[in-house]
Amino acid sequence: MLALIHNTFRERIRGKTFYIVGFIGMVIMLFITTGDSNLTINGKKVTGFEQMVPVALSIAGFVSNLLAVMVSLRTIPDEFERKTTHLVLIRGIKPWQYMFSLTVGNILASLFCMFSLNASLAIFCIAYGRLGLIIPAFLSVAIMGINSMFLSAAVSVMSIKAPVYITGITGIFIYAAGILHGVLDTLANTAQGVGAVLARATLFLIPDFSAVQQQASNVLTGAPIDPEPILSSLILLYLAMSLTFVLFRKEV
Amino acid sequence: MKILECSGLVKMYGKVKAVDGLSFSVEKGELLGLLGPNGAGKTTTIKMILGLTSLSGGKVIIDRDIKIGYSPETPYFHLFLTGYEVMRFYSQLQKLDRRTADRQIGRLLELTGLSGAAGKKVKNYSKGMLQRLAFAQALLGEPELLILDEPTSGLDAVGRIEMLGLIERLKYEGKTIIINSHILSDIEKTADRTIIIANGRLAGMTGKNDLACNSLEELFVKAVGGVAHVGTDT
Repeated sequence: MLALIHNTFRERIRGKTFYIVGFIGMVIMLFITTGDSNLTINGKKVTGFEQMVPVALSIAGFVSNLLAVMVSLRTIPDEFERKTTHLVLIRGIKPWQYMFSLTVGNILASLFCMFSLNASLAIFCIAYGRLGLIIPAFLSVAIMGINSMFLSAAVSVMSIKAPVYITGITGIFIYAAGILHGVLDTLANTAQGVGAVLARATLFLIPDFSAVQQQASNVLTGAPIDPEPILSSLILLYLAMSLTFVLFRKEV
Repeated sequence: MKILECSGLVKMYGKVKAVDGLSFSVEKGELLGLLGPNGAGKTTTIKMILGLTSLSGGKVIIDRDIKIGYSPETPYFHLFLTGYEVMRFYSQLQKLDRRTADRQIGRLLELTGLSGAAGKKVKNYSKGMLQRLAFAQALLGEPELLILDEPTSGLDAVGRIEMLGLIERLKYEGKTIIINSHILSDIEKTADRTIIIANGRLAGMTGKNDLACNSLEELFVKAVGGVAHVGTDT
């Protein structure tokens, strides 16, 4: 299984998409973290460290979550299309081991991508003489990584059965619903009827990405942390991963 | 001694019967040829033997402990890997220890003439080299049964001769081999026994002795009713 995970990781981080989007993300991050941006919040230019960090984290979160979807989208369908599945399955690898390994490989590639994007945040901490913030920054990125991990796992699991374009669109929908979780939750709770029940059920299965991101930001700024959104995201990640044990294609 | 027995194999794709009640067996040390026109159901039969597709009917009897090597018709390997890394990857999946794997990889790359290209990325391999790499990975772990799906497909004349030479060599070493091909001459040269498949059914069976009085081509045309298109390139 380790060989499969390693191979998947190596293949994913070689994708052109990964490098292009990653490069754009790093440019945005460097642009903001060097203080040369014209970004304003409530009419005030964002230049201070405490102001910039949440902005940088949000942008890094946005780009790396999109990358998580893109990186994980094609891994499993490609294996089936190229028939590489044949040479793996005849070697006694069970379908669940195969799907689980590919999903873990995708998750690791997504995390690698997230940490690469946030490397500029570490540089930022050093440049501002905030060396003590390196470890909190690392923890903060690790917490944000939960969002990427969930997205990567969800997209990987969906791609076992669904066509690539449906998986991609659904992945983006999950991300949008996760970011707007609070707003959508309020709307669903105020609405009535079957639609509202369905909306509540859907939201129950999607982590609150913005809440997780907020906790990540709190780690860095020293604000109190609410473990609830982190734990519920981890539970949903576990549920998504466990689907790799039961889903497989009928014909390989 | 029978190493494999297929009895009444049936495979349905929706309402289409790809394989229809196919029965045959393979003796230990035998080289069995599966011959048939394109779309006859040969690859589906192989997939059923390998457990890669479910059976709609019939059964495959094979010792669970028997190691099987498989070389696909159109091999695909991860392009960023080198030839050595491909072999290493599959040896890891087979849980071969490092020393055994390295010994076998070296020998197999030598056998297939890929030693010089072992460090080269697979994306730079020619079709013939990929076919030989597929052949090499099939031999990892020293399988008792080797299944080769169109092993000479896409190879030039020299590549074909080399590949058939390799197969002959393994046959004399006592390996049990199943070759799936639509090329009559390949089967004629190598197989001890040939099963002719047409429209998913067993259309004929010949042994080396039968070929003394009839060419395989004659038997084949007779078996499939003279309408099938098969490769006769040499």
